[in-house]
Amino acid sequence: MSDCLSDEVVALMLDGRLSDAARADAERHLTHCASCRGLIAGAARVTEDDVSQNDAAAGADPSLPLPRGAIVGRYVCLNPIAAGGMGVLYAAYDPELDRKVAVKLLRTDFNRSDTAPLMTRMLREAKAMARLSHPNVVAVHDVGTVRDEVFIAMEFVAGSTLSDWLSAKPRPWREILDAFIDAGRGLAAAHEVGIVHRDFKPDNVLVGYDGRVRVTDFGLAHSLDANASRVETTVVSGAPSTLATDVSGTGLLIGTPKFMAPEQMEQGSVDARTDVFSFCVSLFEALYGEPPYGGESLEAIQSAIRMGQIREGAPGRAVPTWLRRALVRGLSADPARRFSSMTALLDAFDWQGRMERRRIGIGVGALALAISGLIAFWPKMSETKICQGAAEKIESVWGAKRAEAARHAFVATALPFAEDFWRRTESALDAYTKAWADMRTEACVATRVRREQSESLLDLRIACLDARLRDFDALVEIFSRADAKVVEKSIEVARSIADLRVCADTETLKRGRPILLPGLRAKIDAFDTTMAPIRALLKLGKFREALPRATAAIPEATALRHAPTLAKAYQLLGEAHYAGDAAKEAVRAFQEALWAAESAGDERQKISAAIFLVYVTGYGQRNPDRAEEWARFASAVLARIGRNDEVEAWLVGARAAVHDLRGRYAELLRDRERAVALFERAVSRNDLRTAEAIDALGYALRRAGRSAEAARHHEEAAGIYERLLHPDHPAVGRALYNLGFALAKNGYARQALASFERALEISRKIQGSDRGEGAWRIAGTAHARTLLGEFEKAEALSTRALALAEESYGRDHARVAWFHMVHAAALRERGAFARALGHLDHALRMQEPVFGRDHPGIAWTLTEIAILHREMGDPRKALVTLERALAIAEKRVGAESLTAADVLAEMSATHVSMRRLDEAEANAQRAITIRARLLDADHPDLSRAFVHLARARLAKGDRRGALTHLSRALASEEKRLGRSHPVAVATRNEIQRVEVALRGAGAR
Amino acid sequence: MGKPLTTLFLSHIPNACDATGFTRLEPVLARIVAEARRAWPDVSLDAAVFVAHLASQCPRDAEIPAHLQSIAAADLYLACACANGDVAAHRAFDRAYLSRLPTLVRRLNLSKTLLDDVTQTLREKLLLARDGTPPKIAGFSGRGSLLAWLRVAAVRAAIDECRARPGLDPALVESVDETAIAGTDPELGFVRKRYGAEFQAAFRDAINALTSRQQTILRLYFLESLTVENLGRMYNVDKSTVSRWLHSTREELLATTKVRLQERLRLSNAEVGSLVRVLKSRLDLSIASALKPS
Repeated sequence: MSDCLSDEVVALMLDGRLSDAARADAERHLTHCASCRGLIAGAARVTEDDVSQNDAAAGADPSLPLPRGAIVGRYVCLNPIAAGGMGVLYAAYDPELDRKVAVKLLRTDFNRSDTAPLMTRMLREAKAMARLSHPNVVAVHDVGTVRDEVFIAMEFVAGSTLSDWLSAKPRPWREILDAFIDAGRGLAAAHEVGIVHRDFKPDNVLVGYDGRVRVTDFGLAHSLDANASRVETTVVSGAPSTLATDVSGTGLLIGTPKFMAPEQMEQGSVDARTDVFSFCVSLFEALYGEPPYGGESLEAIQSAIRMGQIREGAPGRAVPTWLRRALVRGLSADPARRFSSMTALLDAFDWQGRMERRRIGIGVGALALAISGLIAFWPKMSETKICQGAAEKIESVWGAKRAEAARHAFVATALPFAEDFWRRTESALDAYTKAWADMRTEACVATRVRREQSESLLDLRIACLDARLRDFDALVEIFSRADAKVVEKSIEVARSIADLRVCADTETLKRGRPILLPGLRAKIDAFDTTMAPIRALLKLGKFREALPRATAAIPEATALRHAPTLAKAYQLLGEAHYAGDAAKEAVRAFQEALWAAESAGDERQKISAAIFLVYVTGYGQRNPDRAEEWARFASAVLARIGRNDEVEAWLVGARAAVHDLRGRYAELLRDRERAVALFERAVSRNDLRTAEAIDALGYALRRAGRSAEAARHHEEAAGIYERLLHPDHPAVGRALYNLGFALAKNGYARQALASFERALEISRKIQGSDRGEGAWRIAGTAHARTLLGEFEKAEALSTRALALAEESYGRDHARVAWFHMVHAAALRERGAFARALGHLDHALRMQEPVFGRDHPGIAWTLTEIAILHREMGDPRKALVTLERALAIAEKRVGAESLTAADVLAEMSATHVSMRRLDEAEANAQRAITIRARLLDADHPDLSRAFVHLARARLAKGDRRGALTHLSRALASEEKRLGRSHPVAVATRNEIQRVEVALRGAGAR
Repeated sequence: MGKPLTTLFLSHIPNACDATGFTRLEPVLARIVAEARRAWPDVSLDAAVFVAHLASQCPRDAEIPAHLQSIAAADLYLACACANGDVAAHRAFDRAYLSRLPTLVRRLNLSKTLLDDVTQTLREKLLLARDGTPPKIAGFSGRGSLLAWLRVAAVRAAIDECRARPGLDPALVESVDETAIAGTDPELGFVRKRYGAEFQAAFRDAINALTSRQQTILRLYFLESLTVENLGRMYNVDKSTVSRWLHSTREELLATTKVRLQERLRLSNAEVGSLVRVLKSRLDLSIASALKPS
């Protein structure tokens, strides 16, 4: 019995943070340990408490932080960063865009009539902030309510607050002023869109490790207009220490008295000039080391403000007179006497600052210095405007109107999950627009404000983002006339475009830097606008619509005489042909794309064309030799340009497809494992690309006989698809279908059946018929029913699957072969040997020309044929067939492989019927050895091998030996398949017969 | 050198840790230390001691950069300071964690005295070294929050306390109401009376034929009354997926039970059918009772 679970394991398990292996261990322990189960149950119950504490508006302890992993909106909380009077700030993770964010949870109470309107305003203003994109404002990504709480998801800023920055060490006045000017720009930008901060202070300004200054927590403080008098008493009755703290009246923050303008304190009325006052208080204290107005109580301070008694400041602080003058004006009690706006105040600083510099410059007698001072200072005046406008630009593409049109189109398809899919698609598109705007602002700031990157690099990044916008536009256009096919693919495509990293990858952007003739750039961009819809159509699987457009684009692209563009056009044409199964045309197009990319020196494009060529020549033309050459070519190019995990992952995946075609399962497994690892590193485990690779790895594991691991991988892939897409998404169906085979192979027929049926249910929901995918899934259920011993049902199902497959693909298509085999297996169990053999022969005739005569799949078909020959009384023919199968298995999969063991087991049975008993025993032993090594102890295939051995012993006259092996088989079969399973029943009968014979022999 | 924290850190990680990608560790470590200190300004703990502790708690199979990204730094810092016997840390732990125990475990409905005992036991076990073994809090690794860890420890302590006092608060240990299972449904009563033993046996067989995951989920759902949300969180899947699991497992149970019953009772298909209909309407109760340790 394993050890009991530690506290840590229990905590992590409840949080869903155990690795798969650790969880499986824990589960095994839990099946037999009631006390650990009790512990889990108790801990889960108390945990549930604080996950759901959001809805316990009253009674919940607001000081209790959310646990790690708690979900707020679409965000996953990581850890609390800070807590204040109005709520708690958490570091959180945004799975949608795979980034770290900060989430502020505001503890509020919507139900109270006095605060509800304020809450509503707060929410409205926070939403307005979300539309504001400014380098000196902490970007608000998302605002929403979760039950009774408002949450605000913001940019995560690694750094400190301005107050920490100020107290870290003494700084010269110029440095302090510069930081405040930046913060002031953020305030001014907010004022422009009608938002007043209401609680500006150094604690609400962040200084990032990147040196950027950002203002946060806009509009969160509110004065209670209706209860002004009450506010005052609350504040005044406070001890002096409350002056610096957040005063919380009714769960709402009112502001921080020390920094509050008199009109805010007294009437609760605020405008931009209120922020000017708070700003000046903050700056004054930062420069002079003490607040401008002294006093032990709020009343004293208020009176000092009214009297205009501004302190002189601590001695030893050199602050220029012009700066003090500006501050004194900003600190006027009467708003009308202050600067009329933040911009006016900043202009005063700027102007004064320039004068200051000029004086210094002329003072040292160098005019050049003065000019450089001017130049150095100039960009700061206009930068605020330069880096704005990103949000408006993308809103012109993705506005409310187009969203509504798309939603209508989705709903009009009348698919049962259309609404659901739409909601998820919409949220992915929303996230994308936000990310796009943020990145565009960031690119601008990096050049114009931080001066970390050159103007030309900014151009490249903007061009890259503009290209993404064209694609986005084309996609939205298709969504607005969506049909069933588009809806089906919508979520994954919407999510796949979200990856904007390519536009942040400055190295690659620089490498692809084009040198263009004048005027060409505009032409190329215009042409790209016609290509964007083709890309979108292909992504959404509408290749028929894409093909004529892609064909028409070639002459246009040729006329541009710009090789990189031509390469892209040919690439699209190739993809359209490939999707339409026109392999020959596809090969030609991809080769053209390759040559064009070669003359353009575009190595990535070359790899991309080569990877497609692997698939087209491999799967499309069934020419693994060619496919392998293309794979090696792509590897060589990649090796030259340097490693890139994602590109390499695609490439390794393509190479794996070649191994699969050739039936080289060891290599297949190795490459699939590598592809998963690469995707995981390039993106994350929880990603659609990785999920696809994991699913493919499951297939490879099953091929390698490791079906238990295979099942785990398919299950994991299905889980990722469910999470990222939708439980009814076709991708979930595919993974569950694969899971069915892994489970069946592992002897879990009942679970396999459930998995196939669920997969069938999904494909029915989506297609409304059983053609195509549905046929495979029905065949899957037939396979499972055969394993369950429900042969009548299996025959009916496999007949239907075969008919559907022939209807979908045509009678002689290679894909139909497999349906014949499933049908034959059911027929054989029903005793219809001749009919079964007919189907198998037919299958073999279809497979050999396509797979080649020595593909491992052929070994399987041959084995099935041999069984029928034996059952029909022709063991000699059976043996010849099996010898051919064994040769293939040993050569192509390995002498110690499961494929070989399958053949050996049947050989043993055939030898028995030919009375070649030593060989029969030896082959059964070999099958046992191989299967015991690769399968678990109760695996039905291993039990079968023991039955074969028993029969060989029995034929030799060793009844007791036979009985031992049969009992061994029966015990496993009963355990795994159940007592009433036909296989177990047959074994039991066999045991009875041997026992009867033994007793008879004993009596004699 | 210039990278004192990195050097210190690397010299304390367990051998099996993957120490690749540690070139930019210094700012990360500095930030962790700073973050932790900001969280507990009163606690004085030498950065070197903390970084060594941080390193020694690195799980064997972890990639260090990713591990450090997700570490609950402030929690680990406090735990380390507590383990080192820092008085301020003990006070902080008392204030921020132990004093919250009543709220944390209020769902367990412990009596005041029991709660006091549990708190006292925990304080001793977690904070005091005994017979040369370090205090239990030294074993907190920082994966997951200290709060979650403490909660589990508290629940364990509460269960232990209950076990130690016979007759006390049995609801905590066994949370299924027996009378609900016996029920008053006449049809079910008939079936139980007529086929009770065979039925139980068939059902138990069917349950044993499930995978260990299926069994675990069934047990936690029916016997320990965890919700689908709880389970979804444990398995990182949507609660609808959990429902689907439960549904298919139930179907499987029914089908297997049917076969087993037929086998045992040699009933006709129709008879078994009607039995199964009764069973289906009461399946949840049957599952809960069959899962109970006999």
